[in-house]
Amino acid sequence: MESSSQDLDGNILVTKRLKKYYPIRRGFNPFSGGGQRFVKAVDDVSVNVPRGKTVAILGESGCGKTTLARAVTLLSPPTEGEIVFDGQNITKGKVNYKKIYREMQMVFQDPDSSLDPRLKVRQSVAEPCKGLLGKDEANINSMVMTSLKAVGLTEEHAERIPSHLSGGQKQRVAIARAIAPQPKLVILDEPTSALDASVQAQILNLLLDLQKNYNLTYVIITHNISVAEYLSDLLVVMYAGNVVEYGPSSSIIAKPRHPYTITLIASAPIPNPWKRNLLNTEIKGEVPSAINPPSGCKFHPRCPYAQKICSEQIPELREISPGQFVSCHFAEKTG
Amino acid sequence: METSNNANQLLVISDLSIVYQSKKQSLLALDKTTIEIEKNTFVAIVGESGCGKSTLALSIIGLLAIPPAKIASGSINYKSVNLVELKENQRRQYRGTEIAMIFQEPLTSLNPVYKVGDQIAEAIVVREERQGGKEIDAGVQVMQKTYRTNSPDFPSRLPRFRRGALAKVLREETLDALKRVRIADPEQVIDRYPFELSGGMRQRVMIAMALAKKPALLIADEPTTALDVTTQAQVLKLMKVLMDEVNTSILLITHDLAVASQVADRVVVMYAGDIVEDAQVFDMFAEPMHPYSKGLLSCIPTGSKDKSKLTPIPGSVPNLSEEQIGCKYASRCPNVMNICTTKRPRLLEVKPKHRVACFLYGE
Amino acid sequence: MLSSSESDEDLTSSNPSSAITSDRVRATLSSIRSNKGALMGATIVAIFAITAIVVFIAGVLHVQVTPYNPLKQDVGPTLAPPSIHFLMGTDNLGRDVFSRIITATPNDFSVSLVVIGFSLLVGSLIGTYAAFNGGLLDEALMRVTDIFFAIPALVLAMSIGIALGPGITNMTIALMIIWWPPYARLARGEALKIAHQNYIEAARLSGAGRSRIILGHALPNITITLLVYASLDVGTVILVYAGLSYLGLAVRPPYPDWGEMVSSYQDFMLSSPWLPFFPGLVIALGVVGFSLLGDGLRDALQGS
Repeated sequence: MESSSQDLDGNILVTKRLKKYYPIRRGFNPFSGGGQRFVKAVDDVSVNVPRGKTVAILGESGCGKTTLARAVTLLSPPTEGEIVFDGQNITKGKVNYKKIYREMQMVFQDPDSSLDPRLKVRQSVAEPCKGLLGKDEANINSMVMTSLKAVGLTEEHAERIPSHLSGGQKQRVAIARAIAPQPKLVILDEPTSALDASVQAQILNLLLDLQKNYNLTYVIITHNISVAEYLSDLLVVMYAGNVVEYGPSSSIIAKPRHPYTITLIASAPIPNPWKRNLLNTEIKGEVPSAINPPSGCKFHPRCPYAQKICSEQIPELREISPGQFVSCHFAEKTG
Repeated sequence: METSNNANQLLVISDLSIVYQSKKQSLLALDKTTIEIEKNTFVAIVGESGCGKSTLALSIIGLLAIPPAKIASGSINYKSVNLVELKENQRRQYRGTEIAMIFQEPLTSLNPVYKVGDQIAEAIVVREERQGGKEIDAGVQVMQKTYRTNSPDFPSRLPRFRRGALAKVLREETLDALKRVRIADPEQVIDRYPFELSGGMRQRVMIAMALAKKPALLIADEPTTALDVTTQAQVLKLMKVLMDEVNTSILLITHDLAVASQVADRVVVMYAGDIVEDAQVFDMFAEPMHPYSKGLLSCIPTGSKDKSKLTPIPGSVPNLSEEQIGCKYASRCPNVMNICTTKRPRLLEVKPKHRVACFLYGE
Repeated sequence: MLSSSESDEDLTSSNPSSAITSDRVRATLSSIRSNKGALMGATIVAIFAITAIVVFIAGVLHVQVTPYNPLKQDVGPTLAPPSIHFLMGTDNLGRDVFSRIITATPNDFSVSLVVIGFSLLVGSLIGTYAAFNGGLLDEALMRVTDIFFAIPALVLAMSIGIALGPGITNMTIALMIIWWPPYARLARGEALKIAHQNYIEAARLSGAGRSRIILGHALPNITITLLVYASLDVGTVILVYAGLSYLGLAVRPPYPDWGEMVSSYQDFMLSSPWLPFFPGLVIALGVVGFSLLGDGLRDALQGS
């Protein structure tokens, strides 16, 4: 990946060789063969997020995408690596959380646990304004109402508690809360996975409108390829803690180069009975253990193109076509 | 509404209405549902939450919690027997042997304290016993004498099956069941506990159990919703292959119209307890007729935001605990007419094998 | 921008009430009203409460509300069985048992409320902080509570009580010391459950520090569970305190106390069985009343 300098090249967020390892608690067995073991949830990830764009982090369970999101927001700070946000290295030195969170917010996956069940909508949405901006009551109130209006909710909704809201409404409140302090970057973790199709469509359109009106940059974590394709400009495909492919979404989805991405895209159900790609995909094996991942390229045990080198050397991310980067020794062959 | 009674029909549901009764309210989950399932077809029932698809599935296999649910009217005819009229112990004869079901979350469908092989073996034995099979039956009779019971479902002390000649035959059958669902190393998996397997493997085990005695109908309630995309593709592929091998019909319940398009022969769209459209898959996607089907299709993101615009359906699902007059979709329908708010549209066959419940296509 | 009409999914069964707490309180009350057991429990507790308050105020104002002076001896014949004049009979010193029992009410009542209140407060704070801090504080808390769990409440209370010396205040303190650990344990468990909820993380993203999260989000959400547990626990305090006063560690005679009465009257079990019976009955009633109320509260707040 480029950008070895501190200069961001128009990127609002840059991660450099990010790692998040979780130590496994050792038992009391003195014969357990020594050495601390780790769950390598995120294992050397470098991504760039350009201002004003939408980057989708796509992957299946265990790929580390949620861990990456939590590392970037410092909810679970990284074990190694750097994060440069809005020109500032937030992994070095003393961290001013309030300053960061004024510009970076997050929307979570589960609308049911996103909101404090005892607080009214108004109070939940006001919380970041109060905590981060410290303005007075009247000011906060107007910020809250503006935010709610922007997501399509009314004064009446502001007085409700979460148990009196539908899933879609709760997610809107979560979005309203995230944009209330007027951040620059919003990270969304599976924002529509728990919602019905028609509600999902409403929320997706809402997100697009908000991005335009508030000049937001989005990082969207998802396992849903059609959502990723619809919303994002850039796509980051993750597998077992690593980035395996990165580039413009339309290019990758039209012509995926990494063997895993190829299978992933082919497995995505499209509403077209004449194109039943799904039934023609084949993938063997299982997602690897995060504690004891395969040597070299983590995908090699399942890869139809695998050769000896794949089990020995981790492939670097290299540019296979303009703007599209793949981490594969044989990316030329997969085209 | 013509119902042809040909020999090809497996399941005929007529005017089925199911109500959920609580102290405060009564909710009409299914409103005079009528549908037929033929042999060896893959039917997908598609709808959003609350449309009644799960209720329909549970009522076919007889797993509805009868209070609070209540079958208000209608019949479920399976091979000319009305299942609704049967008593529980008669109904049970069909469960597993004729009609099988798999669920969304395999971790909770499998018993965590028994090995996977034992659970499949149990399924085989119980059904064999019901079908009066010979080899295993002999062993079961011995067991029954030992435990002094005549109950047909007694064999739940699974570890006992490990002993004797019975064990060998059973083990072979269990391994066959695992191989049938394309599990790579059945000898290993047979001794594993559910928590040791991945989601995809567990779902394959569920399918193995469900198909153990080759039922004529397999109901799958959102079987891949909790799985990864790549795993989902494999499991769906498997189901299609098995449909031919085992000679069964599959009824897939899903909220995902795209999934339905990829695997089903026929798609049935449900909304708020009604079937609104029922067509062969190619017809459904070439020419969706009901406004809700069209709306649902336009909700699916296809392509990037610059090229295609998503048009969501405005409004929300009606409250089924209140009585609905007229078409339930009227409040959200872009083509709503006067008649829609006063009369309820019937499900009519507007084209061959294509039924719609909408006044746009006549009364 | 989406207009609200296009995007509004209305839950027709929703209840946009701004007075959320009064809404909940009403729902809880109606649930209790419909539950016969809970209603009975509530009535019993109410009677006890009113009696306690009345007696206490009367005591402050030096007014006698009982039929007879509870301390005065020979208001009637000694060991008289229950009659119209002496509703619960008289004891060996000719004192009216009924008056004594009434007068003893604020005692047990207030002790149990003080102990439970203290335990709730201290226990929930310590437990929640331990859950959110983890590490040494958490380990220390767990081990301390383990110790308290290993020894029966009465024995523990007794040892502390003897060390402090007898008397109501000292006994109350002893009970307070031993009573809070289970609450801390419970609070810790509940707090751990919600520690990973998204709204807690959202609070962190709102710049909230640990204390604000604990006080503003965690505690309010675990309160109900703790309250339910507390309501079921009040009866136990009454019982243990009665045990202590039975052993003579609490109240000094001649002041009446239910447990103490059971103790001093038990010699008369065969000759005048009403003597130990009535104070015992009242203790039992207190315990049962609170238990029923606690059950009802739990069903109302946590039931399906």
